[in-house]
Amino acid sequence: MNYLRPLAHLSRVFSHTGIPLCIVAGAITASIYYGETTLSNPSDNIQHISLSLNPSEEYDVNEIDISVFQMDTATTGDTSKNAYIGLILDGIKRDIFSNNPIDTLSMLGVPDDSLTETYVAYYYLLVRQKSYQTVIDQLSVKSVPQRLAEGTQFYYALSLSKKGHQQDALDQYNQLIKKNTNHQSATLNSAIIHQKMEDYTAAFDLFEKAVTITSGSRKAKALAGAARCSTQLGNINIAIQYYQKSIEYRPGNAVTWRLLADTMAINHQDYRSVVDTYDKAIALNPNYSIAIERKSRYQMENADFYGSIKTLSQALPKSFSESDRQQLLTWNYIALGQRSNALRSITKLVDIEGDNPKTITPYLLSYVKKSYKQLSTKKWNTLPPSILYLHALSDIKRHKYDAATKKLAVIKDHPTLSTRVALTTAKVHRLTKQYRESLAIYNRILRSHPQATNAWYDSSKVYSRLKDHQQALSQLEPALAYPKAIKKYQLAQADYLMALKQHARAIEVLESAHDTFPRSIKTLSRLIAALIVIDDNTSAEFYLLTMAKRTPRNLDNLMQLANIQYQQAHYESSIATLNNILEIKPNHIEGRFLLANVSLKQGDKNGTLSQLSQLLKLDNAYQPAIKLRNKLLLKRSASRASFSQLITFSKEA
Amino acid sequence: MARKMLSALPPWLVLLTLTSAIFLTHLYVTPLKSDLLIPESIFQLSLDMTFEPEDTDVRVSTFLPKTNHRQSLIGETNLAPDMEFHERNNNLGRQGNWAGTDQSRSVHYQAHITTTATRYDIPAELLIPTSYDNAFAPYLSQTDAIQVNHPEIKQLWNNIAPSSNQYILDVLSAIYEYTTHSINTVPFKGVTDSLTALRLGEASCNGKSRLFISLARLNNIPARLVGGLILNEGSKKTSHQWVEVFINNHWVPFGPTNGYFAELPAHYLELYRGDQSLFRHNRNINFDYSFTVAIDTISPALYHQQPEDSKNKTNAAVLLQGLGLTPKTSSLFLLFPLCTLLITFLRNVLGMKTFGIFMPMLIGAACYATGLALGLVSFIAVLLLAFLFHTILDRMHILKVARLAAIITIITCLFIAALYFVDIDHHVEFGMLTLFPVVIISFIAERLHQLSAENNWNDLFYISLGTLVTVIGCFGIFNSILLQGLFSLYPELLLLVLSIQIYIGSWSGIRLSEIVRFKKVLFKDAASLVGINGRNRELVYKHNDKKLLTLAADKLAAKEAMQALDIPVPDTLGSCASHREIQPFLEVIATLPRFVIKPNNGSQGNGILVIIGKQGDDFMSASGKIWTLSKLKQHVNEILSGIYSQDGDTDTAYIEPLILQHDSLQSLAPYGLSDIRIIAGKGKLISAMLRMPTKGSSGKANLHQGAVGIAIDLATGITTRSSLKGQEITHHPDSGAPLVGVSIPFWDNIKIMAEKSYTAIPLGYLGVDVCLDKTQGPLILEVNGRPGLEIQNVHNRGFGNELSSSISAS
Repeated sequence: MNYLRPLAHLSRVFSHTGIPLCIVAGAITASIYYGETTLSNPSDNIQHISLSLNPSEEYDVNEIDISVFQMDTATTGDTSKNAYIGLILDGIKRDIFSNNPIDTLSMLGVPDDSLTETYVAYYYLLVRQKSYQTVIDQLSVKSVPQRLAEGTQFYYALSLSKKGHQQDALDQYNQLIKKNTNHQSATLNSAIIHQKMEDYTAAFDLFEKAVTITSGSRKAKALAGAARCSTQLGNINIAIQYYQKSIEYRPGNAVTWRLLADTMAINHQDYRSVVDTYDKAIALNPNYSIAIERKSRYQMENADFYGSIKTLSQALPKSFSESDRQQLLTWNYIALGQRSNALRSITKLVDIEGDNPKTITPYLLSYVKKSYKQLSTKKWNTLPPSILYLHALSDIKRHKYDAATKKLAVIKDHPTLSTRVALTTAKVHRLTKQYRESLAIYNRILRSHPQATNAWYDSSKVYSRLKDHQQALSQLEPALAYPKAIKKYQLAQADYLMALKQHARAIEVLESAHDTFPRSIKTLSRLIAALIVIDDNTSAEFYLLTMAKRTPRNLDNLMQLANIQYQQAHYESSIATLNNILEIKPNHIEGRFLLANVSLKQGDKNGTLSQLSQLLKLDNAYQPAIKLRNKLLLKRSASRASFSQLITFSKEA
Repeated sequence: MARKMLSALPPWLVLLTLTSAIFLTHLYVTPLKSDLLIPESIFQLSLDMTFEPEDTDVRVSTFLPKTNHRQSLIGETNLAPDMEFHERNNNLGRQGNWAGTDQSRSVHYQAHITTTATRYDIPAELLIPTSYDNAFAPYLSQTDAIQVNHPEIKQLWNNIAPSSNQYILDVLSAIYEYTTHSINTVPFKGVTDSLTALRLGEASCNGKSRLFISLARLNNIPARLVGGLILNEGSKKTSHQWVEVFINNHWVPFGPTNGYFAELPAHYLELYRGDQSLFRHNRNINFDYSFTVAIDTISPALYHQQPEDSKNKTNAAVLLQGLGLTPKTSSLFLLFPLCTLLITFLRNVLGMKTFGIFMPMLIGAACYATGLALGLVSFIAVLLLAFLFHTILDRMHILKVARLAAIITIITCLFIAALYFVDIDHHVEFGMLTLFPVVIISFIAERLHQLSAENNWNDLFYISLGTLVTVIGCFGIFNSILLQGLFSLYPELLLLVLSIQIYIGSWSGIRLSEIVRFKKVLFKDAASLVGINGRNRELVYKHNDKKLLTLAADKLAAKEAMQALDIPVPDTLGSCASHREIQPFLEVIATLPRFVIKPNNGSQGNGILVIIGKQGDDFMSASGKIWTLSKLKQHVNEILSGIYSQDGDTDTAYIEPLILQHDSLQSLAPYGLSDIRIIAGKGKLISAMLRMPTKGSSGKANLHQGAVGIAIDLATGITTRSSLKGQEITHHPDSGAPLVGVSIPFWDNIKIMAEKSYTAIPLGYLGVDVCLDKTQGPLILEVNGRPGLEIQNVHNRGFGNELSSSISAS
């Protein structure tokens, strides 16, 4: 068995060496490793608790051991929580405190171990009651070290600043800060004083220091202070960062949000972000008039006229000055070309302000009321920018484009008017058929102001003038994306679609517009016209009927309806409509003619002839009627002749 | 009979049986709780508060972790120099208050916490109660920041209320859905009341939670704020807030910020309840704080166990912690024996060599404290530094003990210096790190230095690798949560470890590394092969008396013993046992034209200096190097210091005359001195080989260093086979002389001398080294009580059977 020999040999080798031990050790190690890895997921240990139903169960409060919710205030020695506040207030009221209040307090029974604390509380209360001079008078006799030792230095400094002695106040604060570099209030107040003294650099440094040593809302104030200083120093980006940080620590402060928005606006940040930031300020305080006004102005200055109008409309009644609101609304409506709305708002403004020539109101009124001559002067160079703008607008209305252009050139860089001026200039170019120039301006504005929905619309009209309806449609898209449906945009869209022969899509748009603006005659007309183009007379008839209800005396619409009804073979309806027309205007030639045709369709030749003869009495030269009558008569003679022949034939027969 | 049977049983088996019995009994009495073996996450939370009070006292308070149904505070420390601390407990939380002076600067608080994730199942049919006890009033009422009755809150509810708002689940789902998804999460740091959160449409955790509570209270559901921390690893300053809603006698958690509905994950730590501030302090102290969280995995058997609990009376870790040891140290203590078992296995079964026998275990323990990567890097860094300084100090000829002491001092200084530059954010167990076996590593570095000086790179590599493997293995054991748990709960397993250790100690088999070394012999005749285990246990321990071993190691004493029996040995021209004797010793040397200086307790030829001639007043060694008298003096000093000594102790240097090799061998191997190794078992000659130096062995007759081994037939004295580093050769690599069929002169004399050596030093397993002097003939150089086993490879056969029969015959 030679083949077994190697095996036997191997087994001898195996048994003499450490291989079996290694195998056993390996197995043990593998087991431990397996056990370790199997048990090594500690996170799976979740305690499940089922809240079983037990409707009749009563709540055992003791089991839960609920105690007083409010935390008892720690006795940290906080001045405002001094136990003798009442005593001090009473003493102040009775004016019993002498120049040495400590003696008075002692006399009032304040124990010695609370005397110092209460002494400080006395000055705290004086400051709370705004008795700054008393504080100054009493504490000025003491030296700085004395005041520092007593703990009254801060109140002395504060009182000095309240009484307008800013430099003295600063000096006293500095003494306090020298003693304790981490004194939050002293640092903050020093910063504020520097800011008031317009030493923004020093103020900024102190605010920055205050940021490092304060927390919570104080830190937020310090950050906001630093931001304001940065703005003054021209470091707008830094200011924005600080405002944002301030908001992190005090997110509920509307003023900080508004200041941030203002700064972002100055820095020409993204329009949407600025508006959102204003929105947050307003959300926190719906009565925050400054924020509302700033937001609406910002929107208007950035050609978001609809947005500005929405802001002004949504402002709470007493949150905003009504005159400011109406003025802004007037401007917005003017920009949009909505004269009737502008008239409404300017009327309200006049009611509020009267016709004060020192304000812009009379100029706005003149413009809106189309009293353009009143907005014409040779000395326009000296006019304030807003009035000059109105002059330019009125020039446009009077087709004095060159004059308008000159005036617009003067104010084209004005910070609050520049965008509107540019849009107006583009409009002038459009009106003077300088379409390329017009488009160049529009597109430049739209690159930086994509929110200017009306500019998208206006520029789309230019493309339409150039017969580039596809581009016009593309240009209109951003305007159509405006959250609120704007009728004129939808109608423009329909027009472009019709021009592109996309009739079905145009009708969809018009139907949607009609649903949104059911009372709009213009929309209905366009829709009817579109339906007629595609020969959808059924729908056209439907809408014409609607139109007829809206405008029962509009003869054109009624005539159109009668025609459609005739074409649809709805003869009775057509007759009814035509009779309606004739009631309104008995000498309506086309109506009578159509009526005759209807009668003819109904087989009433005599009736037809009767109608025709009446028509011809009204207009004996009306050729269509003449032709028809002759035709009918000819037929009648022919048939009579035939009949006679027939009778003759039969007779002969 | 029973006693006989018992005594016949191997000790390890007896121990194993005993262990099994104890273990089974223990298991019966205290059934295994598997959850104690499942690892648990433990969070180490550190809170550092700093302040600069300048001219005012300091008062600081914060909420500290406490134990409740889902979190457990295992331990905490509070370091606040010069500050008073007191604690206040109420239902809002556990508040720690520190009070200090204007000199106080910091508080360092640390806690170890375990937590559990909880999840609540709310039945769909559960109705909202219509009334509650008065005690719930605070959780239903409006506050400045929770504006329950504000019209906007009510309007919001009108917009989001479900169709049926009488069921708790429906109402809470609607509230949760709104606050989680409709209110954006932004990183506000300040307090946000519910109205602000609603108006802004965005808020951080506290704003969202307040809004949640407003809506819940509006629906007559008691709700409260809970504050705490999210325990993610790293440093942070941000705390967190979530909501608890009272449902059916439970306060059920909701986290609208991170999307937790009726559940709370394990890494949420509750600190307080109610609309509180986490920190309160007096003003103007520039207060700052930072949390640091570290996550570790622990064995529950080491923690949570109260000594008073009867079930824990056998928990060894608990008992050790009762002495004041930390859980980590307790686990180390319990697992040391298992590591020693691993080391024993690796050395005795695998044949792995390491620097130091149990040193890797200590390094592994240090790595357990610092982390494996950091530990290994530190180990290698310290080792390299120690090696570097060994080299520098060696060049300065600093004596051994002083050199080691200097290296330890230098490394300690460097460590302290490093602390100035390294910013250590997390707290390592510095007890371990500072004691990071600097001392032991310094010793290792010496061995490393020695190996590198000998250019023994092969050995250096394998020893380094073996050390690394052992360190990692020991680290793995210390780090094993399962083993920590098992040995804590069942300390009788240590007896099992002991039984295995005894078993391995009794095992004489061939190590795995020897399979490679002796593979030819092994596969030829496994039974006759003697490995190191077999040599040590069956031959040296059994048949070599310790005193005789000491005698054999003492070369001078051994020579005396042999001279007493007229066995020819080289003369001793002089000896020097202490530094006082150096001068006379050198005076002797100065008169000699050629000689050999040897350490008395040396081995493997280390420390032997062969001087073959003089150049003026200087001496020339066999390697061609010039030695001045002062250099010789240094060498002697080194011998005296014990550098070359087998046991590391101080030694004696002695001089022998230079042996001029017999022509018969000189013609074969002109470099160095060849010698004949004869193995004897109880006086009977077993095997013999001729060892011839080569250039590769630097003139040393050491087979491991590259000398040629030539098998000699005992009967005839003729060489039969030769090999070099395991490969069979026929001719000397340097001289080219044929090596097989060479007749060894004076062979019979040599045999007689070897037999007589046994009489002089009756070691049962004896190696006799004989050289052939040109004029004096065969001389015994030394006797060896632990002769090597390479002779088996030279002969290509084992000598185990012959040894056994010769030993048993006598």
